[in-house]
Amino acid sequence: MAEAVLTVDGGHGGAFAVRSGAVFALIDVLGQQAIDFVAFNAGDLRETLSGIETRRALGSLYIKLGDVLVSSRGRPMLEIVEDSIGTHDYTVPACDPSRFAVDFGCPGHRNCLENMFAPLRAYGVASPLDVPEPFNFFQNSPVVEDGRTAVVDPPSRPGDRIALRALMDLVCAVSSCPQDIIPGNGLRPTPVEVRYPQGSA
Amino acid sequence: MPLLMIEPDRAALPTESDLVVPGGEVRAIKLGCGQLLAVTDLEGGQPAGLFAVSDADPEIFLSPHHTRVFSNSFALRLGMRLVTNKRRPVMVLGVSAPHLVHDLLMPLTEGEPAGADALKGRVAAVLHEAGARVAKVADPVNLFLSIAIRRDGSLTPAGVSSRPGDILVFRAVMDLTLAIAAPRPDPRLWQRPAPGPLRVQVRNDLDSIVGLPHRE
Repeated sequence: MAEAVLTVDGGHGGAFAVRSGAVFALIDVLGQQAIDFVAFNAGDLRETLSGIETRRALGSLYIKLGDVLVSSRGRPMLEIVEDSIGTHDYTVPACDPSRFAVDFGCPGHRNCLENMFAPLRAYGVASPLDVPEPFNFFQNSPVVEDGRTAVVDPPSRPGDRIALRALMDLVCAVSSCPQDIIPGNGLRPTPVEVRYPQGSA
Repeated sequence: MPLLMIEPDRAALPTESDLVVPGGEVRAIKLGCGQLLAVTDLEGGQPAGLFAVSDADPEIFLSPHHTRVFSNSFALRLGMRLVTNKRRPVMVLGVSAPHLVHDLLMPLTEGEPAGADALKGRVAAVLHEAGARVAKVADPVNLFLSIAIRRDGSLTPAGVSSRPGDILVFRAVMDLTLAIAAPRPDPRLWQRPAPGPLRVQVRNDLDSIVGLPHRE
């Protein structure tokens, strides 16, 4: 099956769909770029990829090759089948309009929530409230001490990638995180790519 | 409003209330800006699932995920602000004994293979009965639940931190409708033969809270 390439400009978003069994890759094209990612059961958009259920299943703040990520209904949704870096987060919510307007005094800034919701509308996602908490691939949120955390720049280099196998038919969205005020993307959002089987959905 | 404002609020103080959440059940209660919320684990070893929605806007609700990031902490600690999905303060944890630990990472599935949807459905129902508009039931703040967090990222269930009579007090800074769950055990996260009851008090002053240890 031919490969489709979804190229997302730095600080922007995109959506795509894949069939169960499809393997797709998320690529940090230039390095040091966090990619927010969400997924929905294509047959029932109320079932979503769930960080909180995945934490219960894995017993870890970190994810690694071979891990199965689970849905809001406790069902296997995705499997990590390739990972060139091993540094990812699934604890930090997507940046949203209030993140920039209130926390940084910068209304109108691009943000991950709207980056993902806008293209998801074409797939039937009705409200930003329906967008689940994201997995943030390449984002670096270490446990620093005593159960505390921080967000620092990712160690990812150009071309680093993570590949996932869909374990059900999925609608997915990504955002090249537009955070350019505090550490998280090296202060410079850059493009990301999604490579997935063409016509798989 | 029961807070020390420069211009005192002349309006009547908000209503105080009490309830007991039986083990395995969920109850709703109103909490006004400035009021105190006290949650007591009557028998010990029982987590409390806390949910809150703004009375002013149903799309504003307590978020454990934003609470973590707001304070750069994976766990809820004494003095921390609990915040909404828009990162505005909802309440502050003002009383919590040193041995108590509170979780911001886990779902309340009650061991159901289908996840937390069933409990969330009961939370939505009691919030609705209490007059709240509910746009979304968020994930819970799990009071008293202990999850050990290590530098390698591992999350190890460490039981329930509360002893009989242990009490927490929060100061609200927003008008809210709360749902408080005394969930059934989740064998993966904590064990208990049967769920126990929780006492909930909403008060306008600290001295009228039953069971609060006296200040030294």
